[in-house]
Amino acid sequence: MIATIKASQLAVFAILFGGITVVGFAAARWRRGNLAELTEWGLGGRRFGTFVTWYLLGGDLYTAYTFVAVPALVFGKGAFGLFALPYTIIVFPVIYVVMPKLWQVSRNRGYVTASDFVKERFDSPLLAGLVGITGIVALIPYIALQIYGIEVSIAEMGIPVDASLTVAFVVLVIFTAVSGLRAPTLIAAIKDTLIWITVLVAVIYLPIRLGGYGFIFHHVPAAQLTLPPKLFNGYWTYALGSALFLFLYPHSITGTLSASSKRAVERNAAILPFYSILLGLIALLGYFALAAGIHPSKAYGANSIVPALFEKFFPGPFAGFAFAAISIGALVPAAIMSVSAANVFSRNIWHQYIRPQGSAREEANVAKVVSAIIKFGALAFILAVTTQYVLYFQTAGGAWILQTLPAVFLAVWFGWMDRWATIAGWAVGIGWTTYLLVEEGFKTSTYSFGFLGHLTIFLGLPPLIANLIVAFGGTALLRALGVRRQPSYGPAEFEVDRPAAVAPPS
Amino acid sequence: MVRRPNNWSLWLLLIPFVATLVPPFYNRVNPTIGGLPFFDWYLLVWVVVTAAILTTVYTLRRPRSGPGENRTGQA
Repeated sequence: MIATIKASQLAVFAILFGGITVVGFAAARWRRGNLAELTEWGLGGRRFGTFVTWYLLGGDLYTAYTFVAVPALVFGKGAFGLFALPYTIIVFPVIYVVMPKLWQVSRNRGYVTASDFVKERFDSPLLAGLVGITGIVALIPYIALQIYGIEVSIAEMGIPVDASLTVAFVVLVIFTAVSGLRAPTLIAAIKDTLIWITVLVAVIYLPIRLGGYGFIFHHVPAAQLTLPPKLFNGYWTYALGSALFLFLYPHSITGTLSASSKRAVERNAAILPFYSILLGLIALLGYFALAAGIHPSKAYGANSIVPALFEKFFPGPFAGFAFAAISIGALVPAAIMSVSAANVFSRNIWHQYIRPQGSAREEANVAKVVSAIIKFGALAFILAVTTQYVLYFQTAGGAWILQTLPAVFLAVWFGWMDRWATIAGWAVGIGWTTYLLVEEGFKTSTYSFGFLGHLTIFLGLPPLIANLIVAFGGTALLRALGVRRQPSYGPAEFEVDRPAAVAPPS
Repeated sequence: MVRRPNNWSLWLLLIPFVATLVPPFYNRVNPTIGGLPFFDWYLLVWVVVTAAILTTVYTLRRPRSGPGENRTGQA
């Protein structure tokens, strides 16, 4: 198919993209702080109130996965794709139970990453490093997925993909290095506005063009509207697994720790579901595309259906607006992800193992360089690897990061877990998950477990259960053998502010 | 003294898990609302109900006396 370039569409796209670039650079001056410090560059100085945290986290969590992959799944697999709704419903109780406590202890003790917490909680730089590496490895394909989302939109406009992506990325790299977390935070406000406008227009205007909701759902094959019973277990395990792993990702933790108070984090658990309505409406676009008879493109398969739907039905300039919304919507999480992965590398690997004597300034500089390397790595990944694999690696990343749940989430509530038992649990969980993924050739993240009567479920969950058994059983065993450990601090560290934050541990 | 929040109310947070992770509860097309299948609008309603449950738990767990903001710790 020969795509043609439409001037008005491209103009709207270019203006919006140029606008956010300016905002990205100007962000360095917003709530000015010393950007040579990692807490300022990589955490916005922990100064974001309830509302800023809300749109920052909204911009951070609702990614190209939401705008591209979820409707594609609904288009291809019908109601199964709607597992994203239970997922983004039950994730909020999970957040509420864990994240306010993690915020408080991080504020009190100067933590920037989950690994900082793990290191002191377990008195184990090794476990902290393992959690950190798991986070970085899991994030790279997730960042690649964001670039893929931009690529799909650019391709629909018919402009040269590789060159445009590279330009977008150079811009992203520079403004992230200059402004740190402040840039994606400010741009997140623009992103949310663009996305909401696009989606509301889509769910009102498209049905009018197509003949109403009744007509749309009449033209979707009936089998796609509900779930065949054989997919029940895949559906709920995917939703539960995703809800458990989302906030273990470094970018979710960065977004949370940048809040200014514990109360802001608690409130956000209650107001973030607002975005899940948006996700539900976006998921419906998969059904719209089915009813409208959209054909998946050769290059991008079902992932092209949302841009194709917009291209077919929206007037040119508004289609450009919508493509900019998707692209900027992918750029914001990509920036936060690279900042957070860089925070982890700088503090928990570089500072811990390579140059412990380095200054705070060096820590921030290393993070700036690493955030650029990670982004180019993800860009290389997307240009080199067959794109269908990006989506598979992304779900693999989720199954891996899930194995850090005992070390991070459970350690927030329980101080008695033993470091060696938790390390052993991590090793068992990661080992089993990797084995399953290799066996599936990274082509899917469900697995049919023979010992469970060939139950086909999300493959990260059984390894997590093995991980928990080893961590708890190992702790009990070591206790029985007389190995005891005093927790580094008491429960009060998780509940109340201390008068002044202590210096970050080194 | 550290004031312990009302942790009992956290049990309310299990409700959305039961309501959304058991597909037989909502795996059907009818009744539709404005053409939208039951499967879809049921889940959208649970987004709102979950937000309401979280708001309830948040309110129940705030300390009763004082402004509540843990700004100054136990001072």
